[in-house]
Amino acid sequence: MAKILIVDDSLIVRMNLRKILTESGHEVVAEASNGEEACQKYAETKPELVTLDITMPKMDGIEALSTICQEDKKANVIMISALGQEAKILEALDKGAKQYIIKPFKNHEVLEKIDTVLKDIV
Amino acid sequence: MNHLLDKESVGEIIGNLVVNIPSLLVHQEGKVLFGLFENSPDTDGIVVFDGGNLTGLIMRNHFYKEMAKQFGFAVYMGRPIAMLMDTEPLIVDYYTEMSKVGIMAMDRAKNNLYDHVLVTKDNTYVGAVGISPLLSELSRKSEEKVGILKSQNEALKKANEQEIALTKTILEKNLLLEKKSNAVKNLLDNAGQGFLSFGKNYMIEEEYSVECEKIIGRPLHKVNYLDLVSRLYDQEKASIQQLAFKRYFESTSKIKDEAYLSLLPNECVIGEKTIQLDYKPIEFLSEKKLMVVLTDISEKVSLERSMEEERQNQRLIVKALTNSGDINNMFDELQELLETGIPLILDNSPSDDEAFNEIFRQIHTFKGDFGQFCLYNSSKNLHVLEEQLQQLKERGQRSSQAVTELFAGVKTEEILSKDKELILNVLGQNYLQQNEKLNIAKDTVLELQTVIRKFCPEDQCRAILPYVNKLKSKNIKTILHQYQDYVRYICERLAKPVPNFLVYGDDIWIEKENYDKLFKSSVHLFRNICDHGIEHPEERAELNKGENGNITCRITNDSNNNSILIEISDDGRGIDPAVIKMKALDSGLMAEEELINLSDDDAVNLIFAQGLTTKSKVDSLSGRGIGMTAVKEATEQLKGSIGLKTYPGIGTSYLITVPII
Repeated sequence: MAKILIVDDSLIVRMNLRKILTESGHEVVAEASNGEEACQKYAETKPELVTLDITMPKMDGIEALSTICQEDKKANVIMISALGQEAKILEALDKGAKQYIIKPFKNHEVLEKIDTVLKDIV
Repeated sequence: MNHLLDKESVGEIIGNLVVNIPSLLVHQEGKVLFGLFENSPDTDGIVVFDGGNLTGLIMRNHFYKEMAKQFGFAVYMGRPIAMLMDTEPLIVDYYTEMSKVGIMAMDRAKNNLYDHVLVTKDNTYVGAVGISPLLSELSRKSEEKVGILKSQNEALKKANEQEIALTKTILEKNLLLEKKSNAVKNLLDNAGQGFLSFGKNYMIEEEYSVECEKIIGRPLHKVNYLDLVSRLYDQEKASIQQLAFKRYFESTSKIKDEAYLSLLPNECVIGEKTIQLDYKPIEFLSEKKLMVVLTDISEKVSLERSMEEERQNQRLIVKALTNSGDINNMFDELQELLETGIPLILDNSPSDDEAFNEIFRQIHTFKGDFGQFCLYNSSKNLHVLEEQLQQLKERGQRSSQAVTELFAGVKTEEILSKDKELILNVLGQNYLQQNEKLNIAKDTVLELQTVIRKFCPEDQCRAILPYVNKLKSKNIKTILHQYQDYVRYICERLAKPVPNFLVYGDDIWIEKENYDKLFKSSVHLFRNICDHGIEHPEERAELNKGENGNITCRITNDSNNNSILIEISDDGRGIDPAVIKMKALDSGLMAEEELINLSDDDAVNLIFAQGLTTKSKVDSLSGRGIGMTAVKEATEQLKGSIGLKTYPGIGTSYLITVPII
């Protein structure tokens, strides 16, 4: 079970993810609602995994991803994206994201993808 | 072979066959020899010595031959045997090879071919070997040899047979394998799915299955897969696909492989076929490749399409059954518009432009109305007509002449024929006359009521009349259910997924006529929900709400107050009081000072006020700011009330309370 940082500008998505993750035994170490906050919280909490929304105010997910991956080459980031953002997802994968999840997501899908990324580290 | 050589070297020398034969001295007389041969019949020959030296050999057959000659006996009996002896017998060394001796013996002159062979060892006589034992030994040896050869041959043959058997097995196995791989290929070829693979140069490899050609409609060997599929998509999709492929081949992480592959488009249309594409990562000799499974899903897609058509037809029939009056009216009204209405509008409008716009609006309204009643084919035909009008408008041909010409070619029956046919096929030819019959039935009910009132005592009247009333009453649930199709129609036009529509609660039977205005104006409420309440799919996805919205209608019988509660809710974005306040200010509904002090609850209730619209653009669906006011007016006329509760991001509930009349 891992320490996870949730980044999303939507409170509803954050609540949703927190519920899904904590119910399956993960620990949500922090939440952030924009890219800037995400980078700051990442540095503070050093999570094992980040779920990162792409479209956000202030600093978007792609930019935040670059910053996080620059700071920590081993960062495990899963992008959370709306439908039709394939180009952005490819960009994110290029910049170091490990996986992506399309909204609206199914609980088991989130957990499965997190598991495969975490297993890959070991 | 080596063990045979070893065996040969032992006991192969002539020495092994040496036997002792009698010997005489060279000067001894013939009669001694005669006595020896006579007394020892087994002796075939003797050796002759001169002192210690071997000087000759006398064989029995040779001696008796000489004796048999004339005077032989008399001559040799008293003379030395030297006269009878062979002075050049074959003498060989003890260690000479037996077979060699055999050859030497056989090389001798015919008359002493069978003479003994004498054997010496270190130049000293050791004995003699008879030809007969030599030959028999030689033949035994050769037999042995032949035997060995034979057995060797057998062994070889056996080995050979084994090898043949092995070869055969291998061959059989190969055949089996080939058969199996053929079977697999056969399976693949006939699976209705095509299998092909390519590496990072995108060249389709030779071993693709036959079905691929069938699906794609051309040979694929050495065809560039990327080129092949890129042409099937628009530029954006194609470039995403290209990048995803590229990254897949570059990637070294299995997880990322998965991510890249899932970004690839998984369906394409080739000609009239719809093909599903599944990408499976494979590795061959540590080279990354991609296997593509092509499945022709055209049938499935067309089945789904025809099922959808079937569903539409079913909806049409249900609608036709439950709304025969409305539908028949619509048929009549359209006919009236097309046959007499158009010229009337053209003649009575102040300008051609206004006449054109009015006709356009009416056709557009009919299109919507037909859609609402699931008369999709008629709706489609009216859409075509609307497009034609639009084209006239774009060409600046809004003259009454152009319009008259266009409508001259339009036949009401042609527009309605398909839907009418569908209805009549299922519901029978009487359907179009049903309206009349229903009217009669309704009148009969009224008549019956009059009769009851007239002839029955008052208390009986009170007991009977509600039952008679029920004959012309409808369940509120049934009435509200009719909006489901309207909601579908509106959402399709707004390019939003059709929301789930649920009606539940108490069964309350009402006389629809009494609530006509309320139910007619409720259209605006549902329109509002679809237009403003339910978010676009992307927005819903962003909020992780289901793609389709939800609309629920709950009916409650409040018998204490003799009233009905109708609660219509959506799970949309809710109403933002700030937006309403702004709109109220914009539309001059209220002054700024008033608005500042207005509570959020009161602000959201402003949507019922005349002249407020939250949509900046007015379109045919909503935006004129009259809809919600109409609902409020209808409830108030019934001495009921309407209110709402809204939660940002979660949804809105409209609560209508009306008395049971």
